[in-house]
Amino acid sequence: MNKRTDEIRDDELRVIGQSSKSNSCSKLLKKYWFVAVLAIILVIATIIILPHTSHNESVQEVFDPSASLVPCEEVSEPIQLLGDYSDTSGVAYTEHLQHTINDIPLDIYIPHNAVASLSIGTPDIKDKSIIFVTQAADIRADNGKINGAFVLAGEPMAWGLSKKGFVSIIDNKIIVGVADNSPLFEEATEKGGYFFRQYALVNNGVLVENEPKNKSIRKAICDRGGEIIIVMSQNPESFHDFAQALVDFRVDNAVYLVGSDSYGFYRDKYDHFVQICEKRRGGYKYENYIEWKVSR
Amino acid sequence: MKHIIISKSTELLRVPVDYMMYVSSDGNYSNIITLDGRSRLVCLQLGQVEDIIAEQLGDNGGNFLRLGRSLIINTNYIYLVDVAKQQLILSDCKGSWHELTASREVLIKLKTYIESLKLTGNE
Repeated sequence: MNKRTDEIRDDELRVIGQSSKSNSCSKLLKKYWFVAVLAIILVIATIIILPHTSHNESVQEVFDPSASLVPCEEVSEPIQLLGDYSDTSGVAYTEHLQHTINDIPLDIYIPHNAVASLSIGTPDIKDKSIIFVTQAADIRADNGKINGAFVLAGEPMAWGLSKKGFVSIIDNKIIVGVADNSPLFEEATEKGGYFFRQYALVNNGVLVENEPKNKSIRKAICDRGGEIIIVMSQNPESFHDFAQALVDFRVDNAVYLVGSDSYGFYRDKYDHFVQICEKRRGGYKYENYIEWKVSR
Repeated sequence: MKHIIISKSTELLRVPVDYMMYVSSDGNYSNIITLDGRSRLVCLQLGQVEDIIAEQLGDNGGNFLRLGRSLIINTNYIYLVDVAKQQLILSDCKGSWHELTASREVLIKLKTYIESLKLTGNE
């Protein structure tokens, strides 16, 4: 279906529905070709496999030692939560951890007792309700606007798909995912939620390759066994190495955040203000952030 | 009354065919504009909306034209094709009025197409 979108130029006109008959005929033809090929493959496979199965019909016994040689699916240990959830005081803060995966030192930030949202414009460092903030979606170099679909408190601010990764925040629930089309964009607009797009790094535990090959400080928002964490490389890394580290760290889904020397800060358990990176002068009008604030 | 039905995992949109004025592309999404002036954003590329119209209306989909990469229009509401100004106005002559822009080439083709309908009496 997507293919047809590209099959029209801007100077072309097409009457919808007129080619549907010929299309359906060709589809039917394709379908039968597929069935015919499948039938031939099945017949050949039957001829090859049948003689062998007659020799292998011996019943496997319960204590047959060969049974232990049957490869079984690797059972992985359940993921342990990274954060410390023992504090029940309800005070909002950001926990900062450090891990090294594949010789890549990582900073890990876990906001506690706070609610995530997006904002446009530099967050106020004096606002003590903000306990973690970092830049979210990229800015287009050609017009200074947000790159990819972006919803701010239910209001669509930008549209388009340039990157397949997305983050939605709806009813205070964060979803990190990868999709061409996501109904969460619409849901965010309907429910006063938030949505942005970025490079996908990990999709269901599988590394997603990305075009840029340079090295830089990398940041990502990750869903690791249901725990939302922000991971930042301490040294410049390639997209591939950073994403591989996240995969090996058993992250389920990860979406990139503006990296390099992008602005960010957090407040720790002792209410210390820590700047992850200093704010550059100037900046763009639509510079946007994902921030965690004290829930009210 | 015939309807175009766009069904997604959590949503179903049902628009009467005669009330669908045009569909515009918005990156990876599409905006469906109805006669009452309302706009509905759907998580489908314009090509996918085109396929749905073709599939659900078949030959009757001929009232809808795909103009370039960014528009699907209902020909019933073509009010003005101005090639020089690259302007296309859709209207029901009652209150619904939409000024659109399209490439010069596609507007020439649209004008020729509408003229041919008039000559063959298909309109």
